[in-house]
Amino acid sequence: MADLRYLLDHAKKQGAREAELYLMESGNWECRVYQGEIEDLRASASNGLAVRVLAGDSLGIAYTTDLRPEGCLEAVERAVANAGISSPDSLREFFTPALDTKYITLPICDEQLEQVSSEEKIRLALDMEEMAKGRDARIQKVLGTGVTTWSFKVTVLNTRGVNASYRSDGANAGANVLAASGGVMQGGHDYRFARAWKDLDPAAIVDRAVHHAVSLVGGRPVESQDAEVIFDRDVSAMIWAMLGRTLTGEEAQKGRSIFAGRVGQKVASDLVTLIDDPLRADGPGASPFDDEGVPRRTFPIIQDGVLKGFMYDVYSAKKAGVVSTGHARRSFRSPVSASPANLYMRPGSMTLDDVVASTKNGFLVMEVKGLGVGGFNVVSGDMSVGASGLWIKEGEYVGPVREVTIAGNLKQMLMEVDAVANDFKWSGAGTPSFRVKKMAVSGK
Amino acid sequence: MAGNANGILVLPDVLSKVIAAAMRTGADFAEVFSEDTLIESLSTDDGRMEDVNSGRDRGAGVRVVKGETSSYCFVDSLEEDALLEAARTAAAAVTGARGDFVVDLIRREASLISPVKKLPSSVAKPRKAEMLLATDRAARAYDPLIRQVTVTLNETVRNTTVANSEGVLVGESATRTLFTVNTVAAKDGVVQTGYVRRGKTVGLELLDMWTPEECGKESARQAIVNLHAAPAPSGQMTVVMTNGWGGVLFHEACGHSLEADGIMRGSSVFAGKIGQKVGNEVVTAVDDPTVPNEWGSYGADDEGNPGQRKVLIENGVLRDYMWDRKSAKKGNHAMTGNGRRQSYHYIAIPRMTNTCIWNGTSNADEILAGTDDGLYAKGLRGGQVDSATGDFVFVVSEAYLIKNGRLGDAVRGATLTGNGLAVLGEIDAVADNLDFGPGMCGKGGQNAPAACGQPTLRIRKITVGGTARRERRGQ
Repeated sequence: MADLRYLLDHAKKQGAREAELYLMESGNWECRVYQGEIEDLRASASNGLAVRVLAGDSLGIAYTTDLRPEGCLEAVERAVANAGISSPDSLREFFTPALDTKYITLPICDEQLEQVSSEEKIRLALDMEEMAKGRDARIQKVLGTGVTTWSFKVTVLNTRGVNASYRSDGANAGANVLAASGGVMQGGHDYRFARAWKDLDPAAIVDRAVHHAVSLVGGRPVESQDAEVIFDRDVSAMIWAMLGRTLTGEEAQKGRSIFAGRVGQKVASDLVTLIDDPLRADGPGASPFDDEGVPRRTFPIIQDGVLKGFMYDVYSAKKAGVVSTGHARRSFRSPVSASPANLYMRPGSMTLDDVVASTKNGFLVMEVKGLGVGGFNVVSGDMSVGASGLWIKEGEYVGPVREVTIAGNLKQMLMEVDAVANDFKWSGAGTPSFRVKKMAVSGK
Repeated sequence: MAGNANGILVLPDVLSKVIAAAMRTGADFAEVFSEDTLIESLSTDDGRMEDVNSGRDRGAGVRVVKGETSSYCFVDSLEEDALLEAARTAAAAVTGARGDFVVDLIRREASLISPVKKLPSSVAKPRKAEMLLATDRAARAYDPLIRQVTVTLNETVRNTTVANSEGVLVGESATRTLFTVNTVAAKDGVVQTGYVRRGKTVGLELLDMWTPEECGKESARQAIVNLHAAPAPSGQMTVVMTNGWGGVLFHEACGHSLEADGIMRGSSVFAGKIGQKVGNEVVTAVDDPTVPNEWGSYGADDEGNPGQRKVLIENGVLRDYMWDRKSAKKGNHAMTGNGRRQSYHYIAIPRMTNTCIWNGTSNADEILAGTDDGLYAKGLRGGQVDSATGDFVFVVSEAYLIKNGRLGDAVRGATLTGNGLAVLGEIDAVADNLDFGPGMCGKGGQNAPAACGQPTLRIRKITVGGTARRERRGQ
């Protein structure tokens, strides 16, 4: 990309006091395989430029995918015009680097990934499909396997002296299977992320997807009761990813977080430690600086059950009278807000099998439905979601369960976490499985 | 170019060249989807205008199909060189050769389903900002327990052009406006929320259909009702659902399983059941993008095929699925104009448009009066379904107990769980007051505007998951 500084100048000429550019340049390669054939192949390079300006104390934003000079200039002009509409706010500012501000270099761009040929990637997807077919007699169909490799480059540039960029890349692979037994069907899927091509483990992905489908097929509702609930690591990741977004200064300031006003307090059992670590290169969200150009750092959010602090971007930090924790996040289409980058829950020392063995009357939840569509109210903490999984009696699996809901309030659930497994995996967040002492299960 | 009613974005002779380049390696079919979308969004938070954003998504994607394989490449450009490069990249996935391919593009007009009165550009932004702030004030004035109000207005003008190797050339401009109001009410440590969403394929006249003040008040009302509501009961019960957005239950629990891609894969519970009874005879279900100005309406789909009304289920009997090009080829069926995509970044897949349970013959008041005991679901938030099993869960945003045919106390935190196929058999009364609500439907990583609708209806037996038991014990 050509030098974009002329756009900062253009913003000033249009009447902006300060300006900031965020450029995303990304490349994706993706293939999906079905019944031994390549079903979909996608290769694309795409770009987006976001502009933020301050005119007086008012913020205006705009974006475009049209990176011709006329497209970029138009975006700058729209941003300046929009600043005339938003409410003035003297707390608005862009990041000003200090003399000693430095960005760490992270191993998040594997040069070898680019060398992997399309043929090799397609072969991996075909191999996964073949493996999945033969894994278990109850697998009726392999609905699809796929491989994606991606890379992107972020550039942040502002009139306060930020001019920085980094590149990141990675690969994902996934499998989607269908099991059938006694006329009922059950899907199973798994996908994983790896920085390096050699770290993708196709057999593990297939095993997990197949296990998921065949162990849940033929599930039935149980009687309504209170039970111990183990959230399997993938479900755990969904829960923590949602909770992570409420652990920001902005949500707390606006009273939209169950954690508001609780810094320094015990919010979870001793077993719960939650860290956002953008410097952990094995996670998909690792980066040297955030989307406003603020250097990243390792940030403990909940330590041994105690809430340590909230995540901030420049604006919400200023509002709270603190400095940005380097958590600004955006896409080029969206406004900036604080959000975790590489959130993970610290794994425990027990295996999942040990956790199950120590469960008297419980439910290993492997799928939830409704979490992101209102089933988990992050403002009130109320959670009520559909669930499928395996029932456990006296430490043994006794059969699959489906068509039940589990309900509870997060505040209480977090205090009642009584086991954390060691089966850590990165997906939306890095998580192990964990158990909550008691939740309401509604079934028959 | 943007803003012209149903114009085309790229010159026909350029599109012909691009299609020829895409067909060069022996493809069966090639298609160019061009897009120039302008977005204006405003939002308030805490009584202030916070985010005022303008966006432009401009680019094109080229699809090349040979046999079962399709290859896709997109570029952030509508210039000839970039389009030709995308065509060559997409074509490289196909091996073979052919001589020069010449396509004679025949311009077809997309039907004008949704005329627009107030284009986003025709109303000054300060005026729009004032409408948002008025919404905020109305919500707060409703009750002092309202603590937070967030109002957003999104206006989208999506200009698209589809051209393909079969000679199709269609341009369409669709203007959609979406208005949402989130409220948070709090008292004694209890926090509850209210949510209003209005959206149509219209311009700013949306806020003449529902005034900003009405929307603000309605959102606040919901939050306050929930604040004072008791925890919902659990167990199997009869549920009466109000007309409108509640149709999301059919959309999620049955609609997705009626999309032909899942049928072709055999992963749907409805596969192989055409002509069979799949629901109670009071149930007729329709997908129809030709409802004037409805949220999921269009003249042509994103593959250039005319949108059409389809009866999916007629008096309980399964009649048809929803088809895009790929699934229709595979199933040897006519395309039904259901090929949709989020943007030029994506390939089209079969999607719902405005999907609903059609009007029945009962009366809404009589359905309620005829129900002795149960739950009245006045609003649903959203839901999720497992397409293999048809199992679903829905979150009820506003609910009341029904006692002796009358509405009783408000209850909160209820979810509905069940199975799509099973619930079709459990619907035993359908009223005649069909209405729609707007949603963003997610599938395969792509979002598309889809309206969900239904008349007031009754489900004889469904599992309600509530928290009453737990809360009682906790006290």
